[in-house]
Amino acid sequence: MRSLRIHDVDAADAPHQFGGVTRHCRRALPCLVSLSLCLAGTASAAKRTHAKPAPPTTRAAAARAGTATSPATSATAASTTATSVTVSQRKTALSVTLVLKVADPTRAREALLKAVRKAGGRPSLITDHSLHLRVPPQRLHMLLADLPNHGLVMDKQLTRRDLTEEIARLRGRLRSKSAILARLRGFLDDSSVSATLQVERTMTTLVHEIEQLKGGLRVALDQAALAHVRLSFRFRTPTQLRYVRSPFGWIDSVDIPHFLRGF
Amino acid sequence: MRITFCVGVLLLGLFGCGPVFQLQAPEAFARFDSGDHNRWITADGVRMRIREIPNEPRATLPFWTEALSGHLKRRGYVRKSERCFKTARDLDACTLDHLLARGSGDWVMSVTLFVVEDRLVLIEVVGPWQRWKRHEPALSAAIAQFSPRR
Repeated sequence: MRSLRIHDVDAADAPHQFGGVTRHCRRALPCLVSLSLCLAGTASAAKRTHAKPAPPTTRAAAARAGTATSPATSATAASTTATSVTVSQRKTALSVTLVLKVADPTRAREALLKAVRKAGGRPSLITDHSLHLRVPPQRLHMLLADLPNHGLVMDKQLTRRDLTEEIARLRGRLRSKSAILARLRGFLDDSSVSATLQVERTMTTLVHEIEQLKGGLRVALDQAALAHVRLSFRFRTPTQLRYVRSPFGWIDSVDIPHFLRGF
Repeated sequence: MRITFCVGVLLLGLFGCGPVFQLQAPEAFARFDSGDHNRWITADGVRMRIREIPNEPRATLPFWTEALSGHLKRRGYVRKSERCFKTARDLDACTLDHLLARGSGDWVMSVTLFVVEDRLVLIEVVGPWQRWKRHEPALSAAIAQFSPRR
């Protein structure tokens, strides 16, 4: 089967097969052309009307600085700036869990607290066996590097949680609920008693929700502002060596006291 | 005839009683001159010793590694790490690092095992953990170049 194209149709067949269409097209074509011309004109006029000239100060500043750039360049620069701002504004919650084996926990705790205060952090829990610390994230690495000076790091777990989306969502919900609350206040002036009571009930619920959102936002921002370090102490007690005999004689001689005696 | 015999005995003595290994100890280690020459010590008291033991019963490196590791665990040592590797001379070796709480600090017992046919060669390093940690990279590099005489 051959595909049919306009050029393939015989001239004699054309009026028979496409006659109606041709007649209609002949009438419609000028209308379409004029319509498209009108539309194009309107669009360009609208563009001229809506396109705002750049602020004179900006233009003057650009001219003064000699940095007049093409619109494309400035658009790229703007998007790059926006991206870098977005990246730098990411909020993350850092959390570190550590087990530190120390000979003297009191001394180690005091030394650690001193180091944390020096780094701009603060303790959130102090017990005989553990220490919970809040440290600025940018100083966390320095503090972790200092830990081996206080004892033997037995276990270390670092977790990082991105809070950017959560904070943005909480802020958005807070904004919308606050706007609804403000609008409801306006209804209180001209409403009946029953309507007033209903509005007040809704407002109470809204206030409760807003407070919850504010609390959540405060917690998220606090988590992003300070890293959480949970430190557990293990006491270093001398090991009592068990005297176990190996079936292989030489293995019994692989031992620290034996080594030191024979050295 | 006599001369040949004497030369033979001399050569046997030279090769038979020579050092059983080649080890370029790290710079921080000083070698003891008295008695056997297989002992080294650092200024801060980390000690190293090399000794040979008959491979009796004749067994492989994994066998001895498991036997030693299990024994130290039963004795009360805490295993820090176990690392098996090939030396520069393509010889299989395993290093077992164990910790022992001693006095107010932790001590390390690091044993590197080589199985050379009918012999076992042991490189033992003992010292307080904090001090041993400082020498550990240089020690690992030296042990990687170690070559026991076949």
